[in-house]
Amino acid sequence: MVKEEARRRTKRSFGARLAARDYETRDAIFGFLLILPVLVWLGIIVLAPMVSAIATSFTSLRVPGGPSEAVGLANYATVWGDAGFRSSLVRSAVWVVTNGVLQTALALGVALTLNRKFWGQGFVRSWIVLPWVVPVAVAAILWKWMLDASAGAVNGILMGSGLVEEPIVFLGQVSTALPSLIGINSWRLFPFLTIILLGALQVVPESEYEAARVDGASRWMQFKYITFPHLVPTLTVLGLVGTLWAANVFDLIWMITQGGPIDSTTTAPVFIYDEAFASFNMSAAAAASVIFLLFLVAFVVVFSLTAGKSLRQAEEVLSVAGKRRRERP
Amino acid sequence: MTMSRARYAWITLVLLVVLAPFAWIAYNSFRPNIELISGPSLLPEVWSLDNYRNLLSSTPFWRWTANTALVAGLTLVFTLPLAVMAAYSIYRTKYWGRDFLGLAVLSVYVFPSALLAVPIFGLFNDIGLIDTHVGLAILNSAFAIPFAVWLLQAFLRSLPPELEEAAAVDGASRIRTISQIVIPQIAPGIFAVAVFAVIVAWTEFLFASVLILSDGKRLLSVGMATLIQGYTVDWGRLTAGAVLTGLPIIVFFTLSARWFVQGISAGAVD
Repeated sequence: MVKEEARRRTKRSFGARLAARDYETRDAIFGFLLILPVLVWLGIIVLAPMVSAIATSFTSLRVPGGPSEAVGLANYATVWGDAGFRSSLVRSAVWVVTNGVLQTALALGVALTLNRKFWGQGFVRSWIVLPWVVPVAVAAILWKWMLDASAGAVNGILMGSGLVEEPIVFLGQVSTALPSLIGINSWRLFPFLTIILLGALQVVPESEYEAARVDGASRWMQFKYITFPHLVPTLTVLGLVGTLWAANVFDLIWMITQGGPIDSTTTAPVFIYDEAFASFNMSAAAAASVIFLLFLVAFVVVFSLTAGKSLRQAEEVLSVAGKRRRERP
Repeated sequence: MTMSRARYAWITLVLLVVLAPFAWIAYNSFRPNIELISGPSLLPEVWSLDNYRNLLSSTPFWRWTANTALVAGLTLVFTLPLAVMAAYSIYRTKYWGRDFLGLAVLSVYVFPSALLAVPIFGLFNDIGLIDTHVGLAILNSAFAIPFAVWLLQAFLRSLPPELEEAAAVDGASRIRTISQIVIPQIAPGIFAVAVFAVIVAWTEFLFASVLILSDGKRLLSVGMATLIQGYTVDWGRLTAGAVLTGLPIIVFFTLSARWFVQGISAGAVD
Protein backbone atom coordinates (compact mmCIF):
# COMPACT_ATOMS: atom_id res chain seq x y z
CA MET A 1 0.00 0.00 0.00
CA VAL A 2 2.63 2.47 1.10
CA LYS A 3 4.86 1.60 -1.86
CA GLU A 4 2.00 1.96 -4.26
CA GLU A 5 1.19 5.35 -2.87
CA ALA A 6 4.81 6.44 -3.18
CA ARG A 7 4.94 5.29 -6.81
CA ARG A 8 1.75 7.12 -7.58
CA ARG A 9 3.17 10.23 -6.01
CA THR A 10 6.34 10.27 -8.06
CA LYS A 11 4.33 9.66 -11.19
CA ARG A 12 2.15 12.66 -10.57
CA SER A 13 3.35 15.77 -12.33
CA PHE A 14 4.90 18.57 -10.38
CA GLY A 15 1.97 20.77 -11.30
CA ALA A 16 -0.58 18.32 -9.95
CA ARG A 17 1.36 17.99 -6.75
CA LEU A 18 1.51 21.72 -6.41
CA ALA A 19 -2.22 21.95 -7.01
CA ALA A 20 -2.91 19.29 -4.36
CA ARG A 21 -0.61 21.05 -1.95
CA ASP A 22 -2.32 24.30 -2.74
CA TYR A 23 -5.73 22.73 -2.10
CA GLU A 24 -4.58 21.37 1.24
CA THR A 25 -3.30 24.76 2.31
CA ARG A 26 -6.49 26.47 1.30
CA ASP A 27 -8.53 23.78 3.05
CA ALA A 28 -6.54 24.30 6.23
CA ILE A 29 -6.92 28.07 6.12
CA PHE A 30 -10.63 27.79 5.33
CA GLY A 31 -11.17 25.31 8.17
CA PHE A 32 -9.34 27.45 10.64
CA LEU A 33 -11.23 30.58 9.62
CA LEU A 34 -14.50 28.74 10.18
CA ILE A 35 -13.69 27.72 13.72
CA LEU A 36 -12.07 31.01 14.63
CA PRO A 37 -15.32 32.82 15.61
CA VAL A 38 -16.24 30.03 18.04
CA LEU A 39 -12.76 30.05 19.54
CA VAL A 40 -12.93 33.81 20.06
CA TRP A 41 -16.48 33.52 21.42
CA LEU A 42 -15.59 30.79 23.92
CA GLY A 43 -12.27 32.42 24.68
CA ILE A 44 -13.93 35.64 25.78
CA ILE A 45 -16.96 34.12 27.50
CA VAL A 46 -15.42 31.06 29.15
CA LEU A 47 -11.64 31.04 29.10
CA ALA A 48 -10.91 34.66 30.04
CA PRO A 49 -13.33 34.66 33.00
CA MET A 50 -11.82 31.36 34.09
CA VAL A 51 -8.32 32.82 34.08
CA SER A 52 -9.57 35.85 35.94
CA ALA A 53 -11.24 33.60 38.53
CA ILE A 54 -8.00 31.72 39.06
CA ALA A 55 -6.23 35.05 39.55
CA THR A 56 -8.90 36.12 42.04
CA SER A 57 -8.30 32.99 44.09
CA PHE A 58 -4.88 34.37 45.05
CA THR A 59 -6.25 37.71 46.27
CA SER A 60 -8.45 38.92 49.11
CA LEU A 61 -11.38 40.13 46.98
CA ARG A 62 -14.71 40.01 48.77
CA VAL A 63 -17.20 41.72 46.44
CA PRO A 64 -16.81 42.26 42.66
CA GLY A 65 -14.90 45.49 42.08
CA GLY A 66 -13.97 45.83 45.74
CA PRO A 67 -10.48 46.34 47.16
CA SER A 68 -8.13 43.38 47.13
CA GLU A 69 -4.49 42.47 47.62
CA ALA A 70 -2.40 39.43 46.86
CA VAL A 71 -2.52 36.83 49.61
CA GLY A 72 -0.85 33.85 47.95
CA LEU A 73 -2.33 30.51 48.88
CA ALA A 74 -4.16 31.75 51.98
CA ASN A 75 -7.62 31.26 50.45
CA TYR A 76 -6.78 27.69 49.50
CA ALA A 77 -5.67 26.94 53.04
CA THR A 78 -8.85 28.47 54.47
CA VAL A 79 -11.19 26.73 52.07
CA TRP A 80 -9.50 23.37 52.33
CA GLY A 81 -9.54 23.70 56.09
CA ASP A 82 -13.28 24.27 55.99
CA ALA A 83 -15.02 21.00 56.82
CA GLY A 84 -18.14 22.35 55.09
CA PHE A 85 -16.27 22.55 51.79
CA ARG A 86 -14.74 19.11 52.09
CA SER A 87 -18.10 17.52 52.78
CA SER A 88 -19.60 19.44 49.84
CA LEU A 89 -16.97 17.76 47.64
CA VAL A 90 -17.94 14.36 49.02
CA ARG A 91 -21.61 15.17 48.41
CA SER A 92 -20.78 16.17 44.84
CA ALA A 93 -19.04 12.84 44.33
CA VAL A 94 -22.08 10.99 45.66
CA TRP A 95 -24.32 13.18 43.50
CA VAL A 96 -22.36 12.52 40.30
CA VAL A 97 -21.97 8.79 40.78
CA THR A 98 -25.56 8.02 41.84
CA ASN A 99 -27.02 10.30 39.19
CA GLY A 100 -24.76 8.78 36.56
CA VAL A 101 -25.61 5.19 37.45
CA LEU A 102 -29.33 5.85 37.85
CA GLN A 103 -29.70 7.84 34.65
CA THR A 104 -27.63 5.51 32.51
CA ALA A 105 -29.43 2.42 33.79
CA LEU A 106 -32.85 4.00 33.25
CA ALA A 107 -31.95 5.39 29.84
CA LEU A 108 -30.48 2.11 28.66
CA GLY A 109 -33.44 0.10 29.93
CA VAL A 110 -35.98 2.40 28.32
CA ALA A 111 -34.05 2.84 25.07
CA LEU A 112 -33.71 -0.94 24.61
CA THR A 113 -37.47 -1.30 25.11
CA LEU A 114 -38.38 1.55 22.81
CA ASN A 115 -36.14 0.26 20.08
CA ARG A 116 -38.90 -2.09 18.89
CA LYS A 117 -41.86 -1.40 16.72
CA PHE A 118 -45.03 -1.00 18.74
CA TRP A 119 -48.25 0.89 18.70
CA GLY A 120 -47.76 4.44 19.95
CA GLN A 121 -43.99 4.38 19.48
CA GLY A 122 -43.81 7.85 17.95
CA PHE A 123 -45.84 9.32 20.78
CA VAL A 124 -43.73 7.74 23.49
CA ARG A 125 -40.47 8.72 21.84
CA SER A 126 -41.46 12.37 21.58
CA TRP A 127 -43.18 12.84 24.90
CA ILE A 128 -40.75 11.02 27.09
CA VAL A 129 -38.41 14.02 26.66
CA LEU A 130 -40.84 16.36 28.38
CA PRO A 131 -39.09 16.55 31.79
CA TRP A 132 -35.95 17.78 30.03
CA VAL A 133 -37.84 20.31 27.92
CA VAL A 134 -39.54 22.26 30.70
CA PRO A 135 -37.61 24.90 32.66
CA VAL A 136 -35.86 23.79 35.82
CA ALA A 137 -38.18 26.12 37.73
CA VAL A 138 -41.16 24.04 36.57
CA ALA A 139 -39.49 20.80 37.59
CA ALA A 140 -38.70 22.36 40.95
CA ILE A 141 -42.30 23.45 41.58
CA LEU A 142 -43.60 20.13 40.33
CA TRP A 143 -41.57 18.05 42.74
CA LYS A 144 -41.78 20.40 45.69
CA TRP A 145 -45.51 20.06 45.28
CA MET A 146 -45.50 16.29 44.68
CA LEU A 147 -43.25 15.66 47.69
CA ASP A 148 -44.91 18.13 50.04
CA ALA A 149 -45.58 16.60 53.45
CA SER A 150 -49.18 17.65 53.89
CA ALA A 151 -50.52 18.33 50.41
CA GLY A 152 -48.23 16.19 48.25
CA ALA A 153 -49.41 13.35 46.05
CA VAL A 154 -46.52 11.04 46.92
CA ASN A 155 -47.31 11.12 50.62
CA GLY A 156 -50.97 10.81 49.72
CA ILE A 157 -50.26 7.59 47.87
CA LEU A 158 -47.91 6.23 50.53
CA MET A 159 -50.35 6.90 53.35
CA GLY A 160 -53.41 5.88 51.38
CA SER A 161 -51.88 2.50 50.66
CA GLY A 162 -50.82 2.10 54.27
CA LEU A 163 -47.10 1.95 53.52
CA VAL A 164 -46.34 4.71 55.99
CA GLU A 165 -48.21 5.99 58.99
CA GLU A 166 -46.77 9.49 59.14
CA PRO A 167 -46.08 11.64 56.08
CA ILE A 168 -42.42 11.71 55.07
CA VAL A 169 -40.91 15.20 54.94
CA PHE A 170 -38.85 14.27 51.86
CA LEU A 171 -37.18 17.62 51.28
CA GLY A 172 -37.10 18.81 54.85
CA GLN A 173 -34.98 16.22 56.64
CA VAL A 174 -31.32 15.42 56.31
CA SER A 175 -31.71 11.72 55.56
CA THR A 176 -34.06 12.07 52.58
CA ALA A 177 -33.30 15.46 51.02
CA LEU A 178 -30.27 14.47 48.93
CA PRO A 179 -31.72 11.15 47.70
CA SER A 180 -34.93 12.99 46.74
CA LEU A 181 -32.97 15.57 44.76
CA ILE A 182 -30.97 12.84 43.03
CA GLY A 183 -34.23 11.20 42.03
CA ILE A 184 -35.64 14.48 40.70
CA ASN A 185 -32.48 15.28 38.75
CA SER A 186 -32.42 11.81 37.19
CA TRP A 187 -36.10 12.09 36.34
CA ARG A 188 -35.30 15.31 34.53
CA LEU A 189 -32.28 14.11 32.56
CA PHE A 190 -32.65 10.39 31.80
CA PRO A 191 -35.19 11.01 28.99
CA PHE A 192 -32.64 13.08 27.09
CA LEU A 193 -30.07 10.29 27.34
CA THR A 194 -32.73 7.83 26.25
CA ILE A 195 -33.33 9.43 22.87
CA ILE A 196 -29.63 9.81 22.22
CA LEU A 197 -29.13 6.10 22.96
CA LEU A 198 -32.14 5.30 20.76
CA GLY A 199 -30.36 6.98 17.90
CA ALA A 200 -27.25 4.94 18.53
CA LEU A 201 -29.31 1.73 18.67
CA GLN A 202 -30.88 2.43 15.31
CA VAL A 203 -27.62 1.96 13.45
CA VAL A 204 -26.90 -1.53 14.76
CA PRO A 205 -27.37 -3.69 11.64
CA GLU A 206 -30.28 -6.10 12.01
CA SER A 207 -28.22 -8.67 10.09
CA GLU A 208 -25.86 -8.99 13.04
CA TYR A 209 -28.73 -10.05 15.29
CA GLU A 210 -30.04 -12.45 12.70
CA ALA A 211 -26.64 -14.09 12.39
CA ALA A 212 -26.37 -14.31 16.16
CA ARG A 213 -29.80 -15.94 16.41
CA VAL A 214 -28.81 -18.47 13.77
CA ASP A 215 -25.83 -19.28 15.97
CA GLY A 216 -28.20 -19.75 18.89
CA ALA A 217 -26.89 -16.79 20.89
CA SER A 218 -28.96 -15.92 23.95
CA ARG A 219 -30.49 -12.49 24.47
CA TRP A 220 -27.75 -11.68 26.95
CA MET A 221 -25.02 -12.77 24.49
CA GLN A 222 -26.59 -10.62 21.79
CA PHE A 223 -26.56 -7.64 24.12
CA LYS A 224 -23.01 -8.27 25.26
CA TYR A 225 -21.43 -8.92 21.88
CA ILE A 226 -23.53 -6.81 19.52
CA THR A 227 -25.65 -4.12 21.16
CA PHE A 228 -23.31 -2.96 23.87
CA PRO A 229 -20.15 -2.63 21.76
CA HIS A 230 -22.13 -0.54 19.27
CA LEU A 231 -23.26 1.75 22.09
CA VAL A 232 -19.80 2.25 23.56
CA PRO A 233 -18.82 5.33 21.49
CA THR A 234 -22.06 7.13 22.37
CA LEU A 235 -21.91 6.05 26.01
CA THR A 236 -18.37 7.39 26.15
CA VAL A 237 -19.33 10.90 25.06
CA LEU A 238 -22.40 10.84 27.30
CA GLY A 239 -20.36 9.54 30.21
CA LEU A 240 -17.98 12.45 29.86
CA VAL A 241 -20.37 15.31 29.06
CA GLY A 242 -23.12 13.93 31.32
CA THR A 243 -20.79 13.66 34.30
CA LEU A 244 -19.61 17.23 33.84
CA TRP A 245 -23.19 18.44 33.45
CA ALA A 246 -24.24 16.58 36.58
CA ALA A 247 -21.26 17.84 38.56
CA ASN A 248 -22.21 21.42 37.76
CA VAL A 249 -25.95 21.16 38.51
CA PHE A 250 -26.82 24.16 40.61
CA ASP A 251 -30.21 25.59 39.70
CA LEU A 252 -32.33 22.56 40.59
CA ILE A 253 -30.77 22.17 44.04
CA TRP A 254 -30.85 25.90 44.67
CA MET A 255 -34.50 26.26 43.80
CA ILE A 256 -35.70 23.27 45.79
CA THR A 257 -33.62 23.20 48.97
CA GLN A 258 -31.03 26.00 48.68
CA GLY A 259 -28.51 23.50 49.97
CA GLY A 260 -30.41 22.67 53.15
CA PRO A 261 -31.62 21.30 55.46
CA ILE A 262 -28.42 21.79 57.51
CA ASP A 263 -26.24 21.76 54.38
CA SER A 264 -27.33 18.20 53.57
CA THR A 265 -27.78 19.10 49.88
CA THR A 266 -24.90 21.56 49.58
CA THR A 267 -22.86 20.17 46.70
CA ALA A 268 -19.71 21.96 45.55
CA PRO A 269 -21.48 24.35 43.11
CA VAL A 270 -23.97 25.33 45.83
CA PHE A 271 -21.11 25.91 48.27
CA ILE A 272 -19.33 28.10 45.70
CA TYR A 273 -22.46 30.14 44.97
CA ASP A 274 -23.15 30.57 48.68
CA GLU A 275 -19.62 31.69 49.35
CA ALA A 276 -19.66 34.20 46.48
CA PHE A 277 -23.16 35.65 46.57
CA ALA A 278 -24.39 35.06 50.12
CA SER A 279 -21.20 35.34 52.20
CA PHE A 280 -19.64 37.79 49.73
CA ASN A 281 -16.28 36.15 49.73
CA MET A 282 -15.28 36.05 46.06
CA SER A 283 -11.73 34.91 46.65
CA ALA A 284 -12.74 31.98 48.79
CA ALA A 285 -15.39 31.03 46.21
CA ALA A 286 -12.77 31.21 43.47
CA ALA A 287 -10.33 29.06 45.43
CA ALA A 288 -13.08 26.51 46.10
CA SER A 289 -13.92 26.47 42.38
CA VAL A 290 -10.32 25.92 41.37
CA ILE A 291 -10.06 22.96 43.74
CA PHE A 292 -13.35 21.59 42.39
CA LEU A 293 -12.13 22.17 38.85
CA LEU A 294 -8.94 20.21 39.56
CA PHE A 295 -11.05 17.22 40.59
CA LEU A 296 -13.10 17.50 37.40
CA VAL A 297 -10.01 17.77 35.23
CA ALA A 298 -8.54 14.72 36.97
CA PHE A 299 -11.78 12.89 36.18
CA VAL A 300 -11.61 13.93 32.52
CA VAL A 301 -8.02 12.68 32.22
CA VAL A 302 -8.72 9.33 33.88
CA PHE A 303 -11.95 8.94 31.93
CA SER A 304 -10.30 9.69 28.59
CA LEU A 305 -7.59 7.12 29.24
CA THR A 306 -10.08 4.42 30.29
CA ALA A 307 -12.51 5.33 27.54
CA GLY A 308 -9.83 4.95 24.90
CA LYS A 309 -9.23 1.43 26.14
CA SER A 310 -12.90 0.45 26.24
CA LEU A 311 -13.44 1.94 22.78
CA ARG A 312 -10.67 -0.27 21.39
CA GLN A 313 -12.08 -3.31 23.21
CA ALA A 314 -15.54 -2.68 21.76
CA GLU A 315 -14.10 -2.38 18.27
CA GLU A 316 -12.27 -5.64 18.77
CA VAL A 317 -15.39 -7.47 19.92
CA LEU A 318 -17.30 -6.19 16.90
CA SER A 319 -14.58 -7.05 14.42
CA VAL A 320 -14.09 -10.55 15.85
CA ALA A 321 -17.82 -11.18 15.64
CA GLY A 322 -17.92 -9.81 12.10
CA LYS A 323 -15.00 -11.95 11.03
CA ARG A 324 -16.54 -15.09 12.46
CA ARG A 325 -19.73 -14.36 10.57
CA ARG A 326 -17.93 -13.90 7.30
CA GLU A 327 -15.93 -17.08 7.77
CA ARG A 328 -19.00 -19.20 8.35
CA PRO A 329 -19.84 -21.21 5.22
CA MET B 1 -40.41 -8.17 16.57
CA THR B 2 -43.52 -7.52 18.57
CA MET B 3 -43.82 -6.39 22.11
CA SER B 4 -44.64 -8.64 24.95
CA ARG B 5 -47.11 -7.66 27.62
CA ALA B 6 -44.33 -7.15 30.13
CA ARG B 7 -42.73 -4.63 27.83
CA TYR B 8 -45.97 -2.69 27.46
CA ALA B 9 -46.36 -2.66 31.23
CA TRP B 10 -42.81 -1.37 31.63
CA ILE B 11 -43.30 1.40 29.07
CA THR B 12 -46.58 2.40 30.67
CA LEU B 13 -44.89 2.60 34.05
CA VAL B 14 -42.07 4.75 32.66
CA LEU B 15 -44.51 7.06 30.90
CA LEU B 16 -46.55 7.36 34.07
CA VAL B 17 -43.55 8.38 36.15
CA VAL B 18 -42.42 10.81 33.46
CA LEU B 19 -45.74 12.41 32.57
CA ALA B 20 -48.06 12.00 35.55
CA PRO B 21 -46.52 14.86 37.56
CA PHE B 22 -47.37 17.23 34.72
CA ALA B 23 -50.96 16.10 34.57
CA TRP B 24 -51.21 16.28 38.34
CA ILE B 25 -49.95 19.84 38.57
CA ALA B 26 -52.10 21.02 35.67
CA TYR B 27 -55.13 19.52 37.36
CA ASN B 28 -54.28 21.07 40.71
CA SER B 29 -53.80 24.50 39.22
CA PHE B 30 -57.57 24.62 38.77
CA ARG B 31 -58.33 23.88 42.41
CA PRO B 32 -58.80 26.81 44.77
CA ASN B 33 -55.91 27.53 47.09
CA ILE B 34 -57.74 26.57 50.25
CA GLU B 35 -58.47 23.12 48.83
CA LEU B 36 -54.83 22.60 47.81
CA ILE B 37 -53.54 22.90 51.35
CA SER B 38 -56.01 20.39 52.67
CA GLY B 39 -54.28 17.58 50.77
CA PRO B 40 -54.39 15.59 47.56
CA SER B 41 -57.83 14.83 46.20
CA LEU B 42 -59.00 13.31 42.98
CA LEU B 43 -62.06 15.46 42.53
CA PRO B 44 -62.04 19.16 43.30
CA GLU B 45 -65.10 20.57 44.98
CA VAL B 46 -64.84 23.67 42.86
CA TRP B 47 -63.05 24.31 39.60
CA SER B 48 -61.67 27.80 39.40
CA LEU B 49 -59.31 30.07 37.55
CA ASP B 50 -58.45 32.01 40.70
CA ASN B 51 -54.86 30.80 40.76
CA TYR B 52 -54.27 32.11 37.25
CA ARG B 53 -55.92 35.44 38.01
CA ASN B 54 -53.88 35.72 41.18
CA LEU B 55 -50.62 34.94 39.34
CA LEU B 56 -51.24 37.34 36.48
CA SER B 57 -52.34 40.18 38.73
CA SER B 58 -49.57 39.82 41.31
CA THR B 59 -46.62 39.31 38.95
CA PRO B 60 -45.52 40.77 35.59
CA PHE B 61 -45.82 37.27 34.17
CA TRP B 62 -46.29 38.20 30.51
CA ARG B 63 -43.33 40.55 30.65
CA TRP B 64 -41.18 37.69 32.00
CA THR B 65 -42.38 35.46 29.19
CA ALA B 66 -41.69 38.04 26.50
CA ASN B 67 -38.20 38.65 27.89
CA THR B 68 -37.49 34.91 27.93
CA ALA B 69 -38.72 34.50 24.36
CA LEU B 70 -36.46 37.34 23.26
CA VAL B 71 -33.40 35.79 24.92
CA ALA B 72 -34.27 32.37 23.46
CA GLY B 73 -34.58 33.86 19.96
CA LEU B 74 -31.26 35.70 20.25
CA THR B 75 -29.56 32.58 21.62
CA LEU B 76 -30.79 30.67 18.57
CA VAL B 77 -29.50 33.36 16.20
CA PHE B 78 -26.04 33.29 17.81
CA THR B 79 -25.77 29.53 18.21
CA LEU B 80 -26.79 28.28 14.78
CA PRO B 81 -24.19 29.86 12.46
CA LEU B 82 -21.36 29.48 14.95
CA ALA B 83 -22.12 25.82 15.65
CA VAL B 84 -22.51 24.93 11.97
CA MET B 85 -19.26 26.68 11.07
CA ALA B 86 -17.34 25.03 13.89
CA ALA B 87 -18.77 21.59 13.16
CA TYR B 88 -17.93 21.90 9.46
CA SER B 89 -14.44 23.01 10.33
CA ILE B 90 -13.82 20.14 12.75
CA TYR B 91 -15.37 17.36 10.70
CA ARG B 92 -14.91 18.42 7.06
CA THR B 93 -11.62 20.23 6.79
CA LYS B 94 -8.07 19.30 7.73
CA TYR B 95 -5.54 21.34 9.59
CA TRP B 96 -3.00 20.95 12.31
CA GLY B 97 -4.56 20.85 15.79
CA ARG B 98 -8.08 20.22 14.55
CA ASP B 99 -8.83 17.21 16.76
CA PHE B 100 -7.51 19.04 19.78
CA LEU B 101 -9.78 22.02 19.08
CA GLY B 102 -12.75 19.66 18.80
CA LEU B 103 -12.00 18.38 22.29
CA ALA B 104 -11.27 21.85 23.63
CA VAL B 105 -14.69 23.10 22.54
CA LEU B 106 -16.39 20.25 24.42
CA SER B 107 -14.30 20.92 27.51
CA VAL B 108 -16.29 24.09 28.17
CA TYR B 109 -18.50 21.93 30.38
CA VAL B 110 -15.63 21.36 32.80
CA PHE B 111 -15.94 24.87 34.19
CA PRO B 112 -18.43 25.28 37.04
CA SER B 113 -20.90 27.95 35.95
CA ALA B 114 -21.29 29.12 39.55
CA LEU B 115 -17.62 30.04 39.36
CA LEU B 116 -17.80 31.75 35.98
CA ALA B 117 -20.71 33.91 37.13
CA VAL B 118 -18.42 36.16 39.18
CA PRO B 119 -15.81 37.12 36.56
CA ILE B 120 -18.45 37.25 33.81
CA PHE B 121 -20.37 39.73 35.90
CA GLY B 122 -17.23 41.89 36.02
CA LEU B 123 -16.51 41.43 32.31
CA PHE B 124 -20.05 42.29 31.22
CA ASN B 125 -20.02 45.26 33.55
CA ASP B 126 -16.88 46.58 31.83
CA ILE B 127 -18.12 46.14 28.26
CA GLY B 128 -21.65 47.32 28.87
CA LEU B 129 -23.39 43.97 28.44
CA ILE B 130 -24.57 43.75 32.03
CA ASP B 131 -28.34 43.81 32.42
CA THR B 132 -28.91 43.26 28.68
CA HIS B 133 -30.72 40.42 26.99
CA VAL B 134 -28.11 40.33 24.24
CA GLY B 135 -25.42 39.68 26.81
CA LEU B 136 -27.37 36.82 28.36
CA ALA B 137 -27.99 35.31 24.90
CA ILE B 138 -24.27 35.50 24.09
CA LEU B 139 -23.60 33.60 27.27
CA ASN B 140 -26.29 30.99 26.66
CA SER B 141 -24.98 30.35 23.19
CA ALA B 142 -21.47 29.78 24.56
CA PHE B 143 -22.88 26.93 26.62
CA ALA B 144 -25.12 25.59 23.84
CA ILE B 145 -22.48 25.56 21.10
CA PRO B 146 -20.25 22.69 22.31
CA PHE B 147 -23.04 20.13 22.48
CA ALA B 148 -24.55 21.52 19.27
CA VAL B 149 -21.27 20.88 17.48
CA TRP B 150 -21.31 17.30 18.71
CA LEU B 151 -24.91 16.88 17.51
CA LEU B 152 -23.92 18.00 14.02
CA GLN B 153 -20.90 15.74 13.69
CA ALA B 154 -22.78 12.59 12.72
CA PHE B 155 -24.63 14.39 9.94
CA LEU B 156 -21.42 15.80 8.57
CA ARG B 157 -19.62 12.49 8.87
CA SER B 158 -22.32 10.58 7.04
CA LEU B 159 -22.17 13.03 4.14
CA PRO B 160 -20.27 11.38 1.26
CA PRO B 161 -17.22 13.47 0.28
CA GLU B 162 -18.08 12.88 -3.40
CA LEU B 163 -20.94 15.33 -3.02
CA GLU B 164 -18.67 18.23 -2.28
CA GLU B 165 -16.02 17.07 -4.73
CA ALA B 166 -18.55 17.01 -7.54
CA ALA B 167 -19.59 20.55 -6.71
CA ALA B 168 -15.96 21.65 -6.62
CA VAL B 169 -15.32 20.08 -10.04
CA ASP B 170 -18.30 21.99 -11.36
CA GLY B 171 -16.54 25.13 -10.25
CA ALA B 172 -18.70 26.02 -7.27
CA SER B 173 -16.93 27.94 -4.54
CA ARG B 174 -16.54 26.35 -1.13
CA ILE B 175 -19.01 28.72 0.47
CA ARG B 176 -21.57 28.03 -2.22
CA THR B 177 -21.06 24.30 -1.85
CA ILE B 178 -21.71 24.56 1.85
CA SER B 179 -24.75 26.79 1.61
CA GLN B 180 -26.41 24.97 -1.30
CA ILE B 181 -25.36 21.35 -0.82
CA VAL B 182 -24.08 20.68 2.69
CA ILE B 183 -26.58 22.70 4.70
CA PRO B 184 -29.70 21.23 3.06
CA GLN B 185 -28.25 17.76 3.61
CA ILE B 186 -27.75 18.29 7.33
CA ALA B 187 -31.02 20.20 7.83
CA PRO B 188 -32.42 17.75 10.44
CA GLY B 189 -29.31 18.23 12.53
CA ILE B 190 -29.52 22.01 12.23
CA PHE B 191 -33.13 21.82 13.30
CA ALA B 192 -32.22 19.75 16.36
CA VAL B 193 -29.56 22.31 17.25
CA ALA B 194 -32.10 25.12 16.95
CA VAL B 195 -34.51 23.38 19.35
CA PHE B 196 -31.66 22.58 21.72
CA ALA B 197 -30.57 26.23 21.79
CA VAL B 198 -34.08 27.49 22.51
CA ILE B 199 -34.56 24.98 25.32
CA VAL B 200 -31.19 25.80 26.90
CA ALA B 201 -32.11 29.50 26.89
CA TRP B 202 -35.62 28.88 28.19
CA THR B 203 -34.47 26.80 31.16
CA GLU B 204 -31.26 28.63 32.15
CA PHE B 205 -31.39 30.14 35.62
CA LEU B 206 -28.01 30.99 37.15
CA PHE B 207 -26.74 33.56 34.66
CA ALA B 208 -30.20 35.01 34.20
CA SER B 209 -30.31 35.68 37.94
CA VAL B 210 -26.81 37.13 38.18
CA LEU B 211 -26.60 39.19 34.99
CA ILE B 212 -30.10 40.67 34.74
CA LEU B 213 -30.56 43.36 37.35
CA SER B 214 -33.62 45.45 36.54
CA ASP B 215 -37.05 44.07 37.35
CA GLY B 216 -38.43 44.97 33.94
CA LYS B 217 -35.88 42.75 32.19
CA ARG B 218 -36.31 39.72 34.43
CA LEU B 219 -36.74 36.26 32.90
CA LEU B 220 -39.32 33.56 33.63
CA SER B 221 -36.96 31.15 35.37
CA VAL B 222 -35.79 33.81 37.79
CA GLY B 223 -39.28 35.20 38.34
CA MET B 224 -40.62 31.75 39.14
CA ALA B 225 -37.69 31.04 41.45
CA THR B 226 -38.56 34.10 43.52
CA LEU B 227 -42.08 32.72 43.91
CA ILE B 228 -40.77 29.32 45.00
CA GLN B 229 -38.43 30.74 47.60
CA GLY B 230 -40.85 33.17 49.19
CA TYR B 231 -41.44 32.87 52.92
CA THR B 232 -45.01 31.79 52.49
CA VAL B 233 -45.50 29.34 49.66
CA ASP B 234 -48.60 30.13 47.67
CA TRP B 235 -49.24 26.73 46.08
CA GLY B 236 -52.12 27.94 43.96
CA ARG B 237 -50.06 30.66 42.33
CA LEU B 238 -47.08 28.30 41.93
CA THR B 239 -49.02 25.55 40.22
CA ALA B 240 -50.59 28.05 37.85
CA GLY B 241 -47.14 29.53 37.25
CA ALA B 242 -45.64 26.12 36.52
CA VAL B 243 -48.35 25.45 33.94
CA LEU B 244 -47.97 28.82 32.23
CA THR B 245 -44.16 28.68 32.32
CA GLY B 246 -44.08 25.22 30.82
CA LEU B 247 -46.83 25.79 28.29
CA PRO B 248 -45.03 27.88 25.62
CA ILE B 249 -42.03 25.60 25.54
CA ILE B 250 -44.27 22.52 25.50
CA VAL B 251 -46.24 23.93 22.56
CA PHE B 252 -42.97 24.78 20.82
CA PHE B 253 -41.72 21.29 21.51
CA THR B 254 -44.92 19.64 20.32
CA LEU B 255 -44.55 21.36 16.98
CA SER B 256 -40.96 20.28 16.63
CA ALA B 257 -40.77 17.06 18.66
CA ARG B 258 -40.69 14.65 15.75
CA TRP B 259 -37.88 16.45 13.96
CA PHE B 260 -36.01 17.11 17.14
CA VAL B 261 -36.03 13.50 18.28
CA GLN B 262 -35.03 12.38 14.79
CA GLY B 263 -32.24 14.93 14.69
CA ILE B 264 -30.93 14.09 18.13
CA SER B 265 -31.15 10.38 17.43
CA ALA B 266 -29.26 10.71 14.19
CA GLY B 267 -26.73 12.87 15.96
CA ALA B 268 -25.78 10.01 18.22
CA VAL B 269 -24.75 7.85 15.30
CA ASP B 270 -21.03 7.67 15.63
